[in-house]
Amino acid sequence: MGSERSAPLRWGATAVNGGFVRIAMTGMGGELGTRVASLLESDPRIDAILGLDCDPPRRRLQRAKFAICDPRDRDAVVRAITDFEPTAMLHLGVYEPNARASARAAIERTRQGARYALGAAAECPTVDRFIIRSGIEVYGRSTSHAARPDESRETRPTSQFGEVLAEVEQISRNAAATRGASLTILRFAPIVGPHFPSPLGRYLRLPVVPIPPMAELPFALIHQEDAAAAIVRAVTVAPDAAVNVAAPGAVTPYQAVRLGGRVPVPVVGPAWVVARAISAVLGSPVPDHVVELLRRGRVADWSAVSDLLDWQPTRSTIEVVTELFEWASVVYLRDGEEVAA
Amino acid sequence: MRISELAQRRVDGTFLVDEWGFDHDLTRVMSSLASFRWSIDADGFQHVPEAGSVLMVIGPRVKICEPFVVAAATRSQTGRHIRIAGADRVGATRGLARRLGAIPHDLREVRSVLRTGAVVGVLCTRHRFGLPGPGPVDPALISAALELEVPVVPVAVRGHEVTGRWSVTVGAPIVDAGTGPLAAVDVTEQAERTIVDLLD
Repeated sequence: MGSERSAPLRWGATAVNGGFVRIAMTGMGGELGTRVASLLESDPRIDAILGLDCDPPRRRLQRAKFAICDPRDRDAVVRAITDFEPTAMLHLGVYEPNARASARAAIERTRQGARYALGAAAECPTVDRFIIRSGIEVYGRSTSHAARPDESRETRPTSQFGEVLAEVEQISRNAAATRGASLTILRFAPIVGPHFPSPLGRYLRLPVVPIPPMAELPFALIHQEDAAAAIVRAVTVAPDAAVNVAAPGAVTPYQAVRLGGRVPVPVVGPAWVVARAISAVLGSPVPDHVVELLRRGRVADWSAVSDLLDWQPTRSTIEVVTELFEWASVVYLRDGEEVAA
Repeated sequence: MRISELAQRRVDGTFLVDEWGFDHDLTRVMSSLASFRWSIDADGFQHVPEAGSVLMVIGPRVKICEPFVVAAATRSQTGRHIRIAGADRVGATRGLARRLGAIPHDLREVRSVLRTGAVVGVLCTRHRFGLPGPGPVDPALISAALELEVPVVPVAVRGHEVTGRWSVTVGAPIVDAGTGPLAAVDVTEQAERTIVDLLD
C-alpha cells in the first residue's frame, strides 16, 4: 500500500491526519453517490469512507460506512461528520427538483444539507479538500447570457435549481476559505442514464413529448458513469477551480425526441402550463429548469476539463441520448413462464 | 446531397447540430435555395484556406442580406460554412439564426468557435448617420484571431436586394506581427481600409 500511496496522485497535506485519507460524502444513497462510493472503495489509497443520505445506498458496498440521516437534520449531520474527522469532503448531496423528491423538498434538502454538511466540514481541522457537485444551471439562460459559458462567466441563475446550486457554491467557497482547503466545483450538464432518476430523462421517455416548435437551441448532457468518473478524478486531483463537465456535442429537443422514436408535439407560450400539467399527471413532473432547457437550450464550454482533471468524457451527448432510450421497459412475466436466466 | 437522405435524417433525428445550434443539413438546403434567388460574382476565395480556422471581416453593411450573401458565396466557392458573429442578436430570430451558423457577438464565444477550426465572419457595423464607407469593426473580436494565430481576411460585398446581383471580393490575409490590444486595432484598421480599396 505504501508504494501505491506514492503513485503520481496529488493527495496534498494528508499528513495532518497521520497520512490517512478519509472521505466524508453526502448523497451516497443516490444512484451517482453509490457508484462513486463503489469506485472510491476500489482505491487502496483511501483508508475510510463515510456516507450520509436519507436513503440507503442503491448497491452493496464493501468498506464504506453509511449513516442514514435526513440532510435537514442538523445535529445528526454535524455529529456524523465531525466524529469522522474527514480529510476530504465530497458533497454530492444535491437534489434535483422532481428527480428523487418533490421540487420543494429537493430545494430544502439541497440548501440545508449544504449548510450543515459543509459547515461541519469547515469545523474539522483535518479537511484539506472540498469537492462539490453543482450544475451548469448556475449560469442561467436568457438573451443576455453567454450561449456556451466557460467557468469564468458570472453565475446568474434563471431557475430555482440554478439558484440553489449557486447558493451551494457560495456556502462551499466560505467553508473552503475557512479551512484554507482546495475547492473543486464540478458543474455538470444534466446527468442522465439508465436507472438515473432525472426529470429530463423521464420527460424524454414519455410517448408524446411537448417541445418548442421551431429552431430550438441545443442542450448537452453527461452520462451517469462519466459523471461518477469525473468525481473520482476530482477527489484525487483536487484542482482549486470550478470545472464544467459536459459530454461533447449537443442535441435539440426535437432531435432527442425523434432519436427515441417518440412523437414531438409543438407547444408555444401559455400552452406550456397545460403541457406541464398533463406531463405531471402522466408521472413526469417538469421543473422550471427543464422547461428552460427545452426552450432556451443548455450547453457549456467543457474544454477545461481535460487539463484540470486529466480526464475526458467517454460518451458524446448523442450517445447519452441513444443509451437513455435503449433502457428497456419493464417486462412483466406471467406465472410459470419459462425465460432465459 | 439527396433530398431523401436529408428527409430521413430529419425524421429519425440523426442530423447534426453543434453546441451553438448550427444545423449542417438545414444550412445546406438554405444555401441551395439562395442560388436561385441571387446571382453572386465571387472573387479572391483562394485566400480562404480549405481547412483550418479563418476570420473574415465583412463590410460594408448597408442592407440585411450581406451576411447571407457572403455565406452563400463561401459555401459555393469553398464548400465551407461560415459562422457570423452577432447575427443572432434579434431575439425572435435567434434560434433560426443559430441554426444557420450565427454565433454570439462575444470575444470568448468567437475564440471557442475559432478553436474548432471554423470560418468565422465579423461584420462591420452600420453607419447610422450616413457616413460613407464601411462602419467600424469591433477590435475585441479581431484580437481573438490574433491570439490563436488565425489568418484575418477582409471581404467586400456589394449589390442590390431588388436585382439579386451581388459581388463578393476576398482580399489577401492581413499580415501583422504580434498580439495584444494595439495589434488588434492595427489589423482592424487595415481590414477596414482594404475593404474600401476592394470596393473602389
